[in-house]
Amino acid sequence: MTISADETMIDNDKKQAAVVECRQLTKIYQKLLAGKDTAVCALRNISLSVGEGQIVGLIGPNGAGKSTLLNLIAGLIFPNEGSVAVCGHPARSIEAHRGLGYMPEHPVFLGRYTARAVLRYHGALSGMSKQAISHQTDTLTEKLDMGEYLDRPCTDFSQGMKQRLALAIAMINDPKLLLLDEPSNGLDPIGIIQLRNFLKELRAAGTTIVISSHRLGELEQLTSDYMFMYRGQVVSFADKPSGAHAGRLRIELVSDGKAIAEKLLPPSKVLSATDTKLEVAVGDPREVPDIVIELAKGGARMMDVTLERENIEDVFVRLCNEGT
Amino acid sequence: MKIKNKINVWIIVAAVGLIVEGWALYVVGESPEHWRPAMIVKDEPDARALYETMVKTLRELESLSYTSNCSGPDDRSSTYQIQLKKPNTFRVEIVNNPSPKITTFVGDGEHLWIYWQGSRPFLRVDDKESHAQSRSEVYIKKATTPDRNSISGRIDLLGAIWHGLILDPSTFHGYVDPLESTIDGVRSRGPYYYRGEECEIIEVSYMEAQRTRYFWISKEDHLPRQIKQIDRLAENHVRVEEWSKIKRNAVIPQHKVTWSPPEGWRQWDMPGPDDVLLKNGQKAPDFDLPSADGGRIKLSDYRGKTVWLCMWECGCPGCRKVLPDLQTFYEENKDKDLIVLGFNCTDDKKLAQRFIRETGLTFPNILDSTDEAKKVMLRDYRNKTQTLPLHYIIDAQGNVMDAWCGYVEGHR
Amino acid sequence: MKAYELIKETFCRRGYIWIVHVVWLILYGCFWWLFLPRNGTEFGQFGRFLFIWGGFFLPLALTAGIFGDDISSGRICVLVTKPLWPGELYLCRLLGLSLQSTVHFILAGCVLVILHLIVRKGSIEHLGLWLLASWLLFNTVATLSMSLSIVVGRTFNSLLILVVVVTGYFLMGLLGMAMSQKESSGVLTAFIRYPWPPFELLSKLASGEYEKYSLTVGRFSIAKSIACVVHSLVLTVVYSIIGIILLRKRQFSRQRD
Repeated sequence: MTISADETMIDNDKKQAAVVECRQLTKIYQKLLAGKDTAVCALRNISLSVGEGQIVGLIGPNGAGKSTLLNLIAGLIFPNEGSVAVCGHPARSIEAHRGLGYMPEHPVFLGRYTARAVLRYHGALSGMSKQAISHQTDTLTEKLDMGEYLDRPCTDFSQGMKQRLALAIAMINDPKLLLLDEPSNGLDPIGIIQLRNFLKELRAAGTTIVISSHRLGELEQLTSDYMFMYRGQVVSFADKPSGAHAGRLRIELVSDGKAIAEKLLPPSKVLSATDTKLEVAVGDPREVPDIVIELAKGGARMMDVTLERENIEDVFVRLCNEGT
Repeated sequence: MKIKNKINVWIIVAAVGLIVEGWALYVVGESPEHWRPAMIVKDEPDARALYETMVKTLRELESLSYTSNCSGPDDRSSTYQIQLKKPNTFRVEIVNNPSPKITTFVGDGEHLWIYWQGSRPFLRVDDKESHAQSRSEVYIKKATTPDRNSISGRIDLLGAIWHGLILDPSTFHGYVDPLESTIDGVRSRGPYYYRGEECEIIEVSYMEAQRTRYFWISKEDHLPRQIKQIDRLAENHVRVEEWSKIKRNAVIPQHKVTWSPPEGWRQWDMPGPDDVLLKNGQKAPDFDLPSADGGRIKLSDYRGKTVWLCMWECGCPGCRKVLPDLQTFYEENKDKDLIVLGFNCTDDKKLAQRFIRETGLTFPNILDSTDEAKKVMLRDYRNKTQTLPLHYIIDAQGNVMDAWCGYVEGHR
Repeated sequence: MKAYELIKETFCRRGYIWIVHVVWLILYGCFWWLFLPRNGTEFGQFGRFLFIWGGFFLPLALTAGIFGDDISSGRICVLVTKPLWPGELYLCRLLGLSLQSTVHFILAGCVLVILHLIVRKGSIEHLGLWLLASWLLFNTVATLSMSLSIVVGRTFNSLLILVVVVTGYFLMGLLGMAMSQKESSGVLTAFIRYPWPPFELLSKLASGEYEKYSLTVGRFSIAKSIACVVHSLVLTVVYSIIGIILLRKRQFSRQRD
């Protein structure tokens, strides 16, 4: 895994070539002719490296800078400082765009065009031949279940259909890097499952995917590589020293829970303690047997031991609170 | 290397683009506001024939009457009601629009009569006193001699008309425009429907395109419907003459082309161009003006020498005849403390310099079209009638010895 | 294939485009029929109508929002992420418009010739020249409008040009009259004539110069005609370059998050 939130890159697997490489990115939005006090710093000194075949989720509250980061990687906007490279090429170059597929949050199409015509249009812009476009259209139609409305004008499309078509457009040229901004917007539950399976297939095929989404549950099922952003900065919860834990151990005791906790456990680990209930922070599930043995040795009479893993939503809320 | 080559290619493309655009701007941008050799017309036989047919038609008519409206871009216009009758009579009534005052010229074959209804206008040769004394119930009477003053010439001399005629009506009577001998060429400018009439436009350039005229000649009667003249001076002067109500060989009553003054009217002898000049013995006003070769000329620098000051312009046929004579005179008298000094305050610089070069004039010439130089000619040297060439002989003490206007064959 | 799709897009992007072409052709026919030019010089009046409607108003109608719509809707975000040089996008769209105008003016010529043959009256002298002048003006105005569309949102590019041209020429005309006797009038004339769409030059190319107080009379010579065409094309190229640079430098983002 090669996600780094710090200024220096942490590269655990040097064999993986970086598909996305961001170095010390800063982006400030300022209106033309407006004073400096109206400027908004959307990204602050972000460095990021995403390897091949990874799915990275960008999560964070509104205004965190997720879309800004996506736009920078896509080459839609320019950073004030730092650099972005996609597949080794600058973000706005033609070479970078050859391996890039981008799906915006609110896709818009030429109303008079049918879905097939739109795919043909974008395939042509990607430099594909007629046959290749036709083949790819058929493949994507099947995978994204678009057969029913392929030859209908886009003005008749629902939001879900538009999302599928937008995803198909992003995939038309078999990109190495896929940037998805809220891909499951408007999709029904079946559509969401289909999307998830599709993305997993892509990952298995070696496509790198960067997703920005507010649907934390969906992200959790897709990947465990998250980048949590808050006010233009990246906080990766895997690296956060304080308060980082995989879950909490709930222990029900007969009595003296508080005393036992004070005696046997470090204070930073104890989340809450009463005479009959203890909650202990656990960084790694493999710690659980050691904690239970330690308590038993110390005379704790345990009635029930349950490990509750922290889910992404918990992390999100926790980190937001920490951020404020 | 690839990038360098790309940049080089773009530089070359940009350079070529700039050159091409520069050429295009030069060609389209050169409206004839500045004199160019390309304006000199080369003769086309068909166009020349058309022009000559027009002149011949004018001359062969027994009578002709028409209305001519002469105007310029200054929004002023003068209207002429012209009646011409063979052998040598005419009547011209002129109005400066929108004033109702009419100036009437009548030629009865022996005399030219000029008169006004009501008070006469202030003329170029007037001063306040003379105008007050001869303001009303006056007429001018001149002998009609075959001299250089044609109908147009007489009208121009008055100096009270806003826009003069381009095509001299005296052509009807056989008068030959002095400009005829200076025609460079005649060419066609294509057909044109002028007010519903089918015309052919011809272009005639004179004096190496110092002047150009365009004639819209009707295919029906070979008479012009519109004439445009462009004088290429320091600035360009455009005027247009439009013909209408043309009647060929119609009866013109005799009383129209004769006139006798009513009782009580006085004859007024209008001063001629020479009469208003500086008198002998008067001090010749000094001036300090730019010369044709880029330097400056001061009249007082020639104190101690006799100066023949000649005011001329390229578009004046008389000037073009007198200048070679003056050059010869200058060469013959160089050693005799006699200097010829040319003075040109109207012409386009390039045109004048070319003319000086081609005529081989080596005597010093003032070439300055500013208001200052014009004031010297019009006010200081009293060329009120703007008649050229204008000659002043100034003695070694700076006093006027002699002064006259115009060119007379063999004058030197 | 890329170029073909982009060219096709210029015709298909809005439902009203084909209607504009048809209406314009009908207008030419109606105008010609109502004000039947009896001879060559009268055809100049019709020529001017063709010139202004086909050369000025038509490109405004066809280029309204050509980039502005994409930018406002966010569609440009997907286009720009394709492996496409911005110049390709611009030039192919321009080519599409130019081809449309070529077909349009050919059809206009056919309509007028057919009308002329049916009625057996009137004149279509110099129709070819007027069509050429209109086509050149169309291209120049279209590129100007397209370049403006990159910085002005939605369809305001066309409206802006319409308002600026009408008021600008009116004001410049007044200024020109006021300054007609001054030396600086030449600078003003040059400013009106050269950097902007060449209305005056192209209309003179087609009609010749017959204004009452003009300093020449007659049609342009071959050299001057070629120079006029070259200038018009160079102006088109300059506007295109400006548009491509704007497209390259512009940032596209609908959200800030």
